[in-house]
Amino acid sequence: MTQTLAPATSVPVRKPRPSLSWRYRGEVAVRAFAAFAIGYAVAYASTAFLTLVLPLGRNDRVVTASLLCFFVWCGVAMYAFAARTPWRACWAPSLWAIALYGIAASFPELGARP
Amino acid sequence: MKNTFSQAMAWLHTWAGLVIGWLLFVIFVGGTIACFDKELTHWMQPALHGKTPVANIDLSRTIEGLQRIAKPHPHAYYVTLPSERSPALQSAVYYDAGPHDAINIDTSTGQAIPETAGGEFFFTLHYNLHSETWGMYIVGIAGMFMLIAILTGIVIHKRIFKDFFTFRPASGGQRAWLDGHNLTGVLGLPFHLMIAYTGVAIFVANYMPAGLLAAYDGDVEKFYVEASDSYERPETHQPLKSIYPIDKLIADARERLGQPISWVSVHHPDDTSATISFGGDHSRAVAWNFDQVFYDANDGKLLHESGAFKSGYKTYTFLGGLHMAQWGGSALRWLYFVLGLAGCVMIASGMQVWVAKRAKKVAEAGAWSGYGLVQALNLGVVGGMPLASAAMLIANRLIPATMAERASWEIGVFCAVWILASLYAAIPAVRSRGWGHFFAINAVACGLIPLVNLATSPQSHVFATIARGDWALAGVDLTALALCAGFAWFAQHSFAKARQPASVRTGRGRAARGDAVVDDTALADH
Amino acid sequence: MLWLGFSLGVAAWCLLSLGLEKHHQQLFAHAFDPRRGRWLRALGWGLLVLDFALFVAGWGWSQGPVFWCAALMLSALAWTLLMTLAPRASTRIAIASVLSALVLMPVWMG
Repeated sequence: MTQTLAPATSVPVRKPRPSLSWRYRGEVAVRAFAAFAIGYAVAYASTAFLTLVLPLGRNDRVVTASLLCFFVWCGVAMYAFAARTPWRACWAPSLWAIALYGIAASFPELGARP
Repeated sequence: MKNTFSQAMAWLHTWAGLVIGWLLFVIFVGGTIACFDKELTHWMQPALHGKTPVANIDLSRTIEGLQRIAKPHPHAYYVTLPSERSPALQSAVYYDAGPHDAINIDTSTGQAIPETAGGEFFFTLHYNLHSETWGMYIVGIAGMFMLIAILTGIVIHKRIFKDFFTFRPASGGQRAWLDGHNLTGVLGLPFHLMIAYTGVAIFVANYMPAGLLAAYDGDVEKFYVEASDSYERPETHQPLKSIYPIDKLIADARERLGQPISWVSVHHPDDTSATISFGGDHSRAVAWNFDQVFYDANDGKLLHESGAFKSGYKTYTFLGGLHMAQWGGSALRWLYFVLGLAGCVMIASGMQVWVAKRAKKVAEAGAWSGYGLVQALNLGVVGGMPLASAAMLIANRLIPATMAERASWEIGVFCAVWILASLYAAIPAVRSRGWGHFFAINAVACGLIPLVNLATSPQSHVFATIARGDWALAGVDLTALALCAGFAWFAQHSFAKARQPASVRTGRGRAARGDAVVDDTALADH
Repeated sequence: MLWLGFSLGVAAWCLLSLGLEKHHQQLFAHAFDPRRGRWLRALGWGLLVLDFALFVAGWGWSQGPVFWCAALMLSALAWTLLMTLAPRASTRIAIASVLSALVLMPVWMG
């Protein structure tokens, strides 16, 4: 795409501008994947989790949890590009998604309580 | 870490903005125009202009009209009564799948009026790019990117208060564009943040099913019945012989709802489970108005009055109402319109900063490189879409009323003009200096709207509408004239700048002399 | 009423920027006094609060704050353009717009 991007490698500092390396493109791709897909997974998991734990009626739990999910997704997306390494950008949010969804899935009756 | 984080967020701000910039521009222009979608629809129905609306409407006859055109097994009939903003009587048949069938009626004659894409075209373009489900998801993704661009923008703009009022148009070139971007971005921040968030929040049920699955096992109907205290009953699969006369129920409905009736609907109209419901409009409060009263379509018996909504759902309807601006009179619609224009400027100037920064590279790269494409796209989208919109309004006045598929022809003109404009923008000589051309063409197109109106529609042109005090109609022509003036000013400015020698134009000299310091994080090489 | 709310917003932003050295220098030749600057800023904030009260009084607690927010954003834009394009006249224009709104108030109310 462009030739002028400062390589946002693991520690983005101002470097002289070499042409884009495949390594750089790969890292951007991994972070973008983390932001988009893993981010959605965390948002999904957090919605399910909040639908479980919020001290509200069923209808209100669903609405509140769902309305908040966009900020969760944004948060993970920002983290994906701020994390020290692209690998960390992937595994840390993934753990969150698994943990939150795991808890939600373990108590289906609680999730469905009126 | 702080420095690194800032730079990462600055990078993300730039690229989140760039990736969806043009798409977002289209969505924003569509939404801004859609502030006045009903007014625009009315403007595009010259058959109704200058007529006095009729007070008593025969709703049963309207329903019969729908029954005549309905395809088998319709989902619901909807009739929207004439209102101040929409004098036509709108009726439609909705189906479980596929587009609806609509008949719009002139109440003074009882006849259908020539169809038009209307202001509704821009509204639909705005929320699903006229691509049903696919489009809704693409728009949602664009909205998420916008949210990220906003949140990262907040994080990186450390000098947010110090630079609050900074605008240096005289600096020329990149600095002026960046100032414009920052100005419209920062000063309009509450609006942009609200619009982006409420925009995605409106479709939350489509974007995030997790809560519904966890708590309701996916039963959408149950959710809405609980949330908005509405009423549903299963189909009986017995054919309904005739729908109870709706006109007999209106007075009772009005009394129970405590507000004027704005719409009527018949759900499952060919089944004995059919219900007739009435509701008011969204103009009385910020939150969407989903209060309804339900009657049995067999015998007119009252079935249910919707009561209190769940508080979470009330919040949701408030967020939706914040976005859609159907309340607060024309004052609020004008405020949103101007703020929307500011948003369009923010997006366009952001794209332009990036393109201008690489202008040198673009010049070196020549005709067929990626940079050239970017420049052409930038010009084609930002310059072409207003042009296509103006062309559609002009086409509305020129396409004969008796033409079949009139609305499709209007939309066809929109698309054709936009494509042609984009092709023009792709010409190498045009794409690097083409802003002046596009501003000028847009000025001409906007100026043509009231002129074509004057030439073709005696009841609709600006002199006639002002004379009888019809300011909603006159407003369209007057806004077109104002936009014409605005585009003309930009065109003149562009041509004047093009005549200046290069060093003065880019303003590098002045910037180097050090005008007020600016947070260069955003200007950093990305 | 909207014009009054809008022009109060412009006045508020005017006061707030006069309280900041950078913009004070943009508009006035004489030196910037930090103490006066604090007073001007306080007055500016106060005017914003007054503006909020005005909008709530006119449009209620639900619609009022939204109108106020919108008016604030647009008046900030207007003030920035005023300061940039017509710096010498800007403060006078801000005062004039508030006065014109106050003068027109009886016309709207009565």
